[in-house]
Amino acid sequence: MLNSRISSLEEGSLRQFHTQRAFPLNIHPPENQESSRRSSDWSISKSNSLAFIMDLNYKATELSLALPGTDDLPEMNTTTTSTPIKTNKRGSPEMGPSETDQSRSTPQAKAQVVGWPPVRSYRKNALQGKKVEPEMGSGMFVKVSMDGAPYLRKIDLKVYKSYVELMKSLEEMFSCIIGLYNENEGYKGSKHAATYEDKDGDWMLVGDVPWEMFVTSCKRLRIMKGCEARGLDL
Amino acid sequence: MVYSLPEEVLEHVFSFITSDKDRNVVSVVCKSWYEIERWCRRKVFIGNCYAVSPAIMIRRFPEVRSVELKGKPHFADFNLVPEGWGGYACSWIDEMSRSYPWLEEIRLKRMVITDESLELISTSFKNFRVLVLSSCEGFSTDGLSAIAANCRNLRELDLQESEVMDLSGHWLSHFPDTFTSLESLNMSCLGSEVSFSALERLVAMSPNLKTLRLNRAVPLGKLSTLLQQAPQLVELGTGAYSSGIRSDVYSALSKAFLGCKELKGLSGFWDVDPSYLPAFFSVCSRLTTLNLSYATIRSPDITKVINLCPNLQRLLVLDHIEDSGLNALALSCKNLQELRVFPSDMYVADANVTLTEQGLVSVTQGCPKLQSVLYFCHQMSNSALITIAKNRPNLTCFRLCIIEPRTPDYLTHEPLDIGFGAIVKHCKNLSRLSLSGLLTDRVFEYIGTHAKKLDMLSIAFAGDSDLGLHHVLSGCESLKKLEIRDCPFGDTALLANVAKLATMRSLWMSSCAVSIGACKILSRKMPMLNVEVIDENGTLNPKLDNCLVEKLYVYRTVAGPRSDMPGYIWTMDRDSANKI
Repeated sequence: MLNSRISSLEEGSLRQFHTQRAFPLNIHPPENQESSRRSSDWSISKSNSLAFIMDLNYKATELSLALPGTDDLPEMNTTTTSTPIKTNKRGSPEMGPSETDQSRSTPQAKAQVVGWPPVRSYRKNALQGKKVEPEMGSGMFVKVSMDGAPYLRKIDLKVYKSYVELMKSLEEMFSCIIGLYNENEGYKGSKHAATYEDKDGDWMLVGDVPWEMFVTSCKRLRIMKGCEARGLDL
Repeated sequence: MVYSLPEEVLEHVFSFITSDKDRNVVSVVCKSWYEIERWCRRKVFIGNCYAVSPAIMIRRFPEVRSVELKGKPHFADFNLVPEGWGGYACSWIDEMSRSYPWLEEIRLKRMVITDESLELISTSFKNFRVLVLSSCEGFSTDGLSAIAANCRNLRELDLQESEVMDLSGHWLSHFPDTFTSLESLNMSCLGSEVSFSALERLVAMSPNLKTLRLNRAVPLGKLSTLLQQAPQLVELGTGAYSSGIRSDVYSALSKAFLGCKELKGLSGFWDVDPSYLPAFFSVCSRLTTLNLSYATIRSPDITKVINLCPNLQRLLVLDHIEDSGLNALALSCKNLQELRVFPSDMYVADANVTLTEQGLVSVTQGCPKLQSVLYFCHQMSNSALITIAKNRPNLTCFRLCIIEPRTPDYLTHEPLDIGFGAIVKHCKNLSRLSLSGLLTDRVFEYIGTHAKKLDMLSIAFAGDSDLGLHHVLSGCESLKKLEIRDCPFGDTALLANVAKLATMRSLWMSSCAVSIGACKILSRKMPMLNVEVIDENGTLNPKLDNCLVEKLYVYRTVAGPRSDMPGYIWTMDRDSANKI
């Protein structure tokens, strides 16, 4: 009996089945014509990718009142909890510091499919908390020049958590003493001052702005001789 | 008349038969064997808690010591099963508390269990030893307190990936001073801090402790203290694996690991600071299991670790391992049996992570004992799949997830039919398969023809027509679990294979093309199946036969329709409010 069913499937009734299947309006994906669906769905996902890429660029040029660096998300921060709110209950009380990071992740232009890729919420949430740390592989290398030195160096700003760490590292690198600028005392006891070129092309004294802001706006570093740096005193 | 062995002798012989399948075979030999066997069965595994009722289980097997139950469908792991679906352990615990006073072990997976049930467990079973709650929910640390306080002989408490309402870390303090039997504790899923002094005290008074999995909140500095108290550990899950720049923490940790001569398995590694990795290098040569799947360390660091672990049998890792790390794995770990590579970025290929199909090909080439693969990647080719199939015909579990749905062979732009076809053709003992990528009905023809030992199949965004589903249902003789999402499979294939469904544990179909009419026919034809239509959006009109169902879950049962269905489930049951 099963065999006859099979043969009828492969011959007549399959065709019959196709014409019978007029989908009512309230269907959910996958959509109608089998033959064109494959290619059309593929192009749907492709255009979604395009929208997604455009969305990334949009974010970079977006105007906002916040300080640069305060809302910094890593370049490929594409993770977001697309899944219904009910799954986030694992996210909140149990993941501690990652809470705030989850709430900051941006929704994407690309349509998220529920439950895809097939990764457990447990794992998704655990890794979401991780996403805030920029991947160390990408790094943020800037050139460092020192007046009088025959060649430049490069350092990864992401490695440091504060100005103190950065200065220590620079001092070691160039075997010099770079004091941190102090409003009252200037560069006391030091012959060099650290300056940096920011996004606008201006040369700024290292240490004025909050660390995060510095990291995102610093394009290159220059260690100036103290005598030149004193000109920056107000 | 045939002489038969005395009952006691048969019982003794049966006591050596532990596998469920063998036990089931024994029980159908004849009536007297059935009777003897049922009185001496000590362990019951129920793969679908709704397939049978507690009363039926208790009636048939009165002397059980260990029960294992599974509740929600597997796709519940990926949020496809709505809240309130079911899988309640309550009725099971209630009835077992009355009928199994000597119960020692309860293992639940994907079930909902309350604090009340936990308390009942802790007070009903005097010799209770093992509680495993895997991917469960519905309980809080209060329930754990009850277990801690009352289970005097507890050996194992495993909360693997459960969702626990974390009310306080003090539940650990409820273990009494006289409690010395603990062998295994897995609390890695707990979010907040546990009282460290209670933890330390517990470890100190558990000389038989073999497995300890800490949660993220246990700082690295404390780990060395614990390890010093428990150098006999065989399995360790660390907490957070970073501590700023603390050379004292590092050296203490290094020293502690040196003392752990029995350590075979490591996991945890939340928030890893790579500079602390070398602290555990001294145990690497003995490691058989390594779970780095929560460690966002880069390929060079991962490779360094792998090169030190020649005895590795099981590796779980993020795609940060990249092809280079997998090549190293293929060279170093000749005993590898299981590999799981998880995605670090769920949606878009991270430009800095080069994990491709090549990595998997290398591992299948270099690791002769490899049997089980779970691999998330962004690209695949038929030629790679064919190579994998030919390299590793001993694969028993092959789960490939190409992250973008319907991705074709990236070299030829063809569907991946022949690639997966090669897998099922060469891997004759394949029992679990998950498909992904661009696939037509063809691949299902291959699967139906060759995958004769396939037990579980997962399909997503694949196929062209009902023929695909029909190939699977009519060809896969051993198929027990089938889960399908977003495929154009519908009524014809389903109704042509109704008898098959009674030989399977369950069928899940969501976002497919099954109509209400077909569900009605299926229900009528197969009274031993529960046909549950899930209508979460409330758009279902049960009168309209060609209305498509959102989600469908069909399973065989001897317990009839269940009484705990939420309002969004529709069935054919005459008495239910939601009658289709």
